[in-house]
Amino acid sequence: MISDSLAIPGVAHLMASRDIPRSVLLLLGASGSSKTMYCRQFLLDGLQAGDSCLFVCSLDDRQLQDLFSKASQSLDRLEVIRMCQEGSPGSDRLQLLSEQIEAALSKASGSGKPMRVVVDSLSSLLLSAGQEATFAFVDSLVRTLRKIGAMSIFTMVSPRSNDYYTTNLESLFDGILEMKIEEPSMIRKIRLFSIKGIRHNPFWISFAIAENGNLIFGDQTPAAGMICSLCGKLISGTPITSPESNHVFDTQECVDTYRKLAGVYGSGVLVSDGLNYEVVNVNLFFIDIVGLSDSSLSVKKQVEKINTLTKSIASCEAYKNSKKDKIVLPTGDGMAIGFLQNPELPLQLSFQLHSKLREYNRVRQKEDEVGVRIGLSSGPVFIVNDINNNQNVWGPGIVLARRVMDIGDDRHVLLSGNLADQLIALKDEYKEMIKFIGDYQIKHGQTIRVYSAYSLDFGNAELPRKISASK
Amino acid sequence: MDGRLADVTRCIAFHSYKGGTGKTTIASNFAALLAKKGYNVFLLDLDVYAPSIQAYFEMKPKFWINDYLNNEAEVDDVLNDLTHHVSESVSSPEGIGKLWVGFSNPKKEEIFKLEGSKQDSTRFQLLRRFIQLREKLVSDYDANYIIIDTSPGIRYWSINSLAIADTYLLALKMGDLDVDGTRKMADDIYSSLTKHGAKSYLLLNRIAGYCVPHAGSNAADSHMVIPQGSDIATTLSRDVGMEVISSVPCYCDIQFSKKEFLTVLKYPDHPFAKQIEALAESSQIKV
Repeated sequence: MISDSLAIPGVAHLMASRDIPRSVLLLLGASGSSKTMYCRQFLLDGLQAGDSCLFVCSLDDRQLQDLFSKASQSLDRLEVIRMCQEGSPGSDRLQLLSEQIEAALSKASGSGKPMRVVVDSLSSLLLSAGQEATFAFVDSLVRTLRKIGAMSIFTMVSPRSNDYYTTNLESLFDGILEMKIEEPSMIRKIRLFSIKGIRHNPFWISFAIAENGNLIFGDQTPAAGMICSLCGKLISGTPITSPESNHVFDTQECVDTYRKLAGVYGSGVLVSDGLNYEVVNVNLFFIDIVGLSDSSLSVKKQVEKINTLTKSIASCEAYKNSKKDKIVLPTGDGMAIGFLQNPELPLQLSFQLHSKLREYNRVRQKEDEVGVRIGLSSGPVFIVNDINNNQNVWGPGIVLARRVMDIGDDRHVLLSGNLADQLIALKDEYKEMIKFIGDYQIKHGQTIRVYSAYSLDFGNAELPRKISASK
Repeated sequence: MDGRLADVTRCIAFHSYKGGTGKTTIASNFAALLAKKGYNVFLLDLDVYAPSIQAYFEMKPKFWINDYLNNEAEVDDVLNDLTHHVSESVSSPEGIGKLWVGFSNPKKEEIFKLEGSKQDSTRFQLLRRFIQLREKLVSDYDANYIIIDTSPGIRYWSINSLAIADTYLLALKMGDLDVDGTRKMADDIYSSLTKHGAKSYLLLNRIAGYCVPHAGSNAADSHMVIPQGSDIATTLSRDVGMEVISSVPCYCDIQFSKKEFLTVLKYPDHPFAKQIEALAESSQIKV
């Protein structure tokens, strides 16, 4: 085990053991997820501790100056090597880079100080030098860093899919860190996904970037007004989730108490109640009937279509079996359903409803067919009791589901990035079915990742018109 | 208190399969002794169906735990500072801690209000208030010990009490043992609870044949004879599947006294008090 002076930023929150062996880590994350800021913190922590620090980057002078402009530490001992040097083509560039890094490492080794190395980012190298040359370069450098015991972080933009090449590249490293920005709250999160030789249960923790550029992890990050599902207190730090439920908790004590109660009473101990005011994480299904407001359609036919949709949804297994674990909100020409437990249920309801409507439409005239578009999302909502003492929900989760649905056309089942991520990670069949179709700018300049779920007999494989138009 | 106390709170629930096992007597004495030893102690009467801790403290509280759970009072209102019971028993109050006691209302309509609500939402609100009570005692009142006298058996409020506790002392009264029932309860309930960090121990009470009061009924003069070769604890521990943390002998002077009293304060040299002291000093209990 290494001393604290070589710890990676946020390690106390990322690992239960709060310690991590000397490793060469790969940090993955979408563009803009703050990978470089994380590396900055890693290097500044090193400078503060008196370690030797090497920063291999693709930044130009001005970008580099901006990156460290608010740092309070002296940068005299920060060795910087630029990846992009004019005039040298791909493989020659890598050869030159290898020699420069080797020389810097040799010099740093001589000082006898602990060593930190950042390579930011491999995506730049891949663009300029290609896959094979980059792979060989990384393989050789990782071996060298491991041999000399340098704590190291390489960054790379998360690949869209795990192809043969990226899987092999990831396997070169001792561990994987992942970063993401959650929509719609835009909360930054990081997790240590794996670390070789250590039993580790990965979990996401929030972090924020302070005014001076420093990273603030875990408990110091506010949790956007969430309330502990058990004790009802406003969560002051990072919400703790339990893998077996969708609940969020304030403290480990609350998690343990919930588990004890759920062990005796069952997992419905917290959700079978009708709370007056609470924030819960809900998996949302938002649907409306396409073309219902068409002026050529009589009101009688509009009502018939609404009734058909309502009955069809009510007859689906995913709807019936979820019993009390859901909140249903009629919206006039459709409905919103918040499933309190299982993130698969909105998608399963979509399959089942499409199947029922296909049967219904098969024997109908075109004007009598019921066409729907569906938006699925997950996120926090407030549960409030309305004037009739019925449960109602409102919050970022439901807004996002509505926005996603609005992008679609007839038969589209569109998912927001956060729910798609959860489902894709869950089952291979979802991985096959749920496809990324693009980023889309919604209201207030917010951009969301949009996925479409479809197969041969479900969904709509065509791009939504709004997405096509935006490309 | 000797300065060893860290920011740790131990929450101990006294529970049993059947009633009349001596939970209340031991819990009250145990809480008083811990306060005497310098700890900040909160004794909660959560035997909501048949509360009886009041008998040891002779007071009629203004507010009850029921009022707090029903959102009609705050934590401050229901905690009664009864440290004077402890301080009056020692020559110098220096070094003693605090003893706070919360009582349950024995009125039948109040019991029905806690138990009789069939609405999930109402029940959950009560449970949430209960969980908040524990949190407040830990964070706002710096509790070293929270001692809960629970209802016997598998009932709503006994399970809730167990869920917030980290240590369970399952009392068994000799002569009225129900080993099968206790084992079943241990299998059904304790196994779910101890999976998440709680520890459970058997507490044997009124072990027969130990006590020989040789000077009439004067409690201070009674003493204990340890029978040779007794394997009661070993047998029960094996049968129920839990470690025996303490075996408390039967003392007629306590059991048949006209009025309840706190032996650890009134007769600190009584073997019962010594036994409670040993329990308080055991490594499984100490904070």
